[in-house]
Amino acid sequence: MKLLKRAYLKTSLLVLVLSSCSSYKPSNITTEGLVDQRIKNGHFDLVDSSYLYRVRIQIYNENLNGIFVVKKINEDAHRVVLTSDFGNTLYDCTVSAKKFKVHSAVPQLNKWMVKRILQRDFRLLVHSDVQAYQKLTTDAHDIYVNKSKRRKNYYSYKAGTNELEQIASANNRKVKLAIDYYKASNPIQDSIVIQHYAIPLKMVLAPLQQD
Amino acid sequence: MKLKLTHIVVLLFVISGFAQQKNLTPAEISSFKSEVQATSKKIITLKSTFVQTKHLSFLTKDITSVGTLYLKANNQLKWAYTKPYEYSVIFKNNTMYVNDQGKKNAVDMSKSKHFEKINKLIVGSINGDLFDNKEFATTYQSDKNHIIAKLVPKSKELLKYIKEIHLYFPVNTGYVSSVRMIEPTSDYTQIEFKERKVNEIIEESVFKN
Repeated sequence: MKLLKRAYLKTSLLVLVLSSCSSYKPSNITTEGLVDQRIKNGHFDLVDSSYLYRVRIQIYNENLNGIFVVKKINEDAHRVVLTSDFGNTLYDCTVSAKKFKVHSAVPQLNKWMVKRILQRDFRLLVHSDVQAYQKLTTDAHDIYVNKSKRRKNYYSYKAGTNELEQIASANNRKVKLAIDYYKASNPIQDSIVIQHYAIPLKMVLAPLQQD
Repeated sequence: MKLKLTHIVVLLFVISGFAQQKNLTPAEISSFKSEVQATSKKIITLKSTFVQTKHLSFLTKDITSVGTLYLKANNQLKWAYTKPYEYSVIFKNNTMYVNDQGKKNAVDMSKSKHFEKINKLIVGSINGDLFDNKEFATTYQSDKNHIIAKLVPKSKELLKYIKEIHLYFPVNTGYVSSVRMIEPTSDYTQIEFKERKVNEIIEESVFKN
């Protein structure tokens, strides 16, 4: 009887461990296959073009507003700047596929952890040219999967188009970060939402019109 | 020889560029300070439209915002941005009240020395009190149309945010027409005050969030 109990406990534990290790996969997949393909994020892809946004950041229970500037400075690198509404620069960096250089940061943001988060967020947000190794399809999306260190990044394009609607970054088990590119009929109302799931951090970007 | 001539011409341009700004003598500084203090003493209320430009060296065009500033001598200050988006910040009773397109919140400035410093900088740059601020080393220069007060933070902490502040006073006026806040990277924010109205009635409701 004791042996039976022990075997039952061991089996339960194994089932628990195995179920908690089941890897993340988007839902409603209809087909999947391996690919060796370069894919494009066309949202910040024009060299020498500047993109201006009003940004609202919610971090824990704090709100931070300002202006968010992105410029593709060459084929591989983007300059990204966050300023307050009063204009002072809060964070200024250059992000490329392999490098991340901070030009300036106010002391509150000049922290190792902030750099780690922003480096990942900004690279995923703006990087234009990505290597995909897997393609999944759903009724609504073509999803290309890219591997980056310990994460998999799922690039969801509107089915049959090159319109990138979402990038979801997941570890083995769940999505840790999602970037949604919302397109409105009027481009002024487009928006980008960067939502973290491991920490209470959300950034909402709305295009800024300059005369 | 041609090259040398070119060098001389360039050098002359550079020298004439520097020569446009000359240092004020101690007597001129004293007279200028008295003028600013006399002007600011008369201010009970101030309303002024402003154009704020953010210069980032890598952008070909500066980022521009416009709005109206309201100031009451009892330390109530409001920045109301109207373009490219509506946004206002009221500083009063040691609190910063923000209205972001209808979304309101308040920040207790006594808990944040950073905001307190920002407020002092803003009010001081308008009423001239910054000259006597112990946190800055101030020098005075003039060009054809302005007297320029250049403030350099003394503390390493403040230098992380700001390299220099330049206040432009049109000659013989005693008031600030423009403020340039230069960051450690040399990028800057410039605020130009326009349509300045002094001592007109500003309703108390303006300072309610």
